[in-house]
Amino acid sequence: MMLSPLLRTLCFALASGGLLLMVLEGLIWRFTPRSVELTSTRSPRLTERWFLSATLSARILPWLLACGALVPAYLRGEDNTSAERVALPCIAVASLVLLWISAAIFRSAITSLRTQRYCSGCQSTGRTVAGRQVHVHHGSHSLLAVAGIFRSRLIVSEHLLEEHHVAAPALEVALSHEAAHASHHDNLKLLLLSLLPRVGFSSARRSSLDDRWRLAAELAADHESTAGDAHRSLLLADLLVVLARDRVAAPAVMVTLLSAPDHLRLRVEQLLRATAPRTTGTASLARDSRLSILSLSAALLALAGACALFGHSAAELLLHLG
Amino acid sequence: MTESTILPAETTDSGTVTNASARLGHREREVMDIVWAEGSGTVEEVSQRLPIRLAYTTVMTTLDRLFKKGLLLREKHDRAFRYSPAVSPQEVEGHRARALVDRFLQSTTAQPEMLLSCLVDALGEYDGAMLDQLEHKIREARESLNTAEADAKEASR
Repeated sequence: MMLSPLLRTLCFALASGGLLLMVLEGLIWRFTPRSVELTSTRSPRLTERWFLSATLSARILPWLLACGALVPAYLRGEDNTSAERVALPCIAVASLVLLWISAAIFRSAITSLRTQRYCSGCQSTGRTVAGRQVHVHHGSHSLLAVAGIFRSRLIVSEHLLEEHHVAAPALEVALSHEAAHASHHDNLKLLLLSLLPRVGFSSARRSSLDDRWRLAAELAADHESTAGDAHRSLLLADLLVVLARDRVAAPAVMVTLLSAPDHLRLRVEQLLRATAPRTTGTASLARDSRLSILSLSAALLALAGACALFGHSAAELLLHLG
Repeated sequence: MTESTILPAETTDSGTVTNASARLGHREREVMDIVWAEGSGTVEEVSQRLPIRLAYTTVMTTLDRLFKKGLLLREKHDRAFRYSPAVSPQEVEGHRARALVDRFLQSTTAQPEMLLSCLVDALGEYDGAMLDQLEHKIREARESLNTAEADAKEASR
C-alpha cells in the first residue's frame, strides 16, 4: 500500500512502539523479583514504589524510545518525500497497536466515569465509624473498600456495620488499611496502569507485573495499618480470613487491588510474621535507589543509542519487511 | 510463593468447556503433573508423589476442585475415587496461549469496570482448605503471643 511520509512515520512509530513494548515488558517481567521477596529485605512502601516504577517503565519507555530515538533516526535518514509502498503486515501491526491504545484509553475513561458516578452516589451516606468519615454502601454483601480516583472515600457496607460482623478494633485496623490506600492514591495508580496498553505476561510461577504491584500495594497498606503491632496484625489477618469466608456475590463491575486468591495467603502469612519487616538503613536504601536509577539510565542510554544508530535500518526493515 | 495460572476456559462437571475462565494454582499444577505422568491416581497415590507432605484432605480437595473444573475425570473403585486426566498438557498450554491473546485484547473486549480497592477481593474464589489452614495459623500465633505476654508479665513481677 502506498503511504505518504507522514503516514509512513506514524506507521513505523506505532509498529516499533508495540514491538518494543512486548520486548521491554517481557524483559522487565522476567527479571523483576517477586513482591514478597522484596518486601522481606526492604520497606513494603519502597517495594510498592519500586514495582510501580518497574511497571510504568515497561509501559512508557517503549514509546519514549520509539518516538524519541527510532522515529528521529528514521526521519534523518529518509530522503524520499513522495508516497512509498509499505508492506501490508507492517500496516496491520500498526493498526492493531493503534486499536490497542485507543481501547485502553477508552476503557479507562469509562472506568473513571463509572467510579465518579459511584462516588457521587455515596455523598448522602456519610457516617463516622472508628473515628473516620466513611460512606455506607447499601447492599447485602460485605464490602470494605476505598473508592474514587483523586478524592478517595472509604466505603463500608451496611451489612458489615449493622450485623456486627466485625469487632470495633478490627474495623479500626481495616479502615486504617483502606486509608493507607487512599493516602497513597492507589486507585489513581491503578487507573494509570490500566490507561497504558500492556501485554500482561504471566505464568504459573511468575505473576504479571500488575499483580506483583497490587500485592506490594496491599502489603504496604497492611504494614502501615498495623504499625508493627502484633495484636493489630492478628486482628487484620483474622478479618481477612473472615471476609474471605463471608464473600458473597459482589457487583460484577470492579477492579480490585487484590487480584488473586493466593495473595490472601501471602498477606496473612506476612502479617503473622508479627515483627516489622526487616528494613535496610536509610543510607543503604538511598544507595540502592541511586544504583537502580543509574543502572536503568545507563541501560536506557545504551538502548537509545542503538535505536538512534540503527533506527533507519530498522525502519526500512519493518516498513518494507526486508 | 505460589502464583496462579489463568486458563481461558472453565469446564463444567460433565467436562463441557465453557467460555468462563478458570485459575490453576501452583499446587493444582503439581497435582495435574502427577496425574499426567501416572495416567491416573487415587488421593493416596497422588499425595505420596507430591514433593512436600500435605494433609490427605488438602490433596482430596485439590483433586475434587480439578474434577469440578473439568480437568480431571473420576471413577469410584471400592471406596475411593480414581482420578484420570480429562485434558492433555498440550490442551492446557493451548488455553494459556489463548488466555495471553485474550489479555492482549482485553481492552477491546472487556466491559469497563469501576475502581474500588477492597480489603478482600469480593470476586475471588477462595479455597476452603486454605482458609482453614490460615485460621489455624492465626489461632496458633494468637496463642503464642498470649503465652509470651503472660510470661513477660510473670517475669516483670
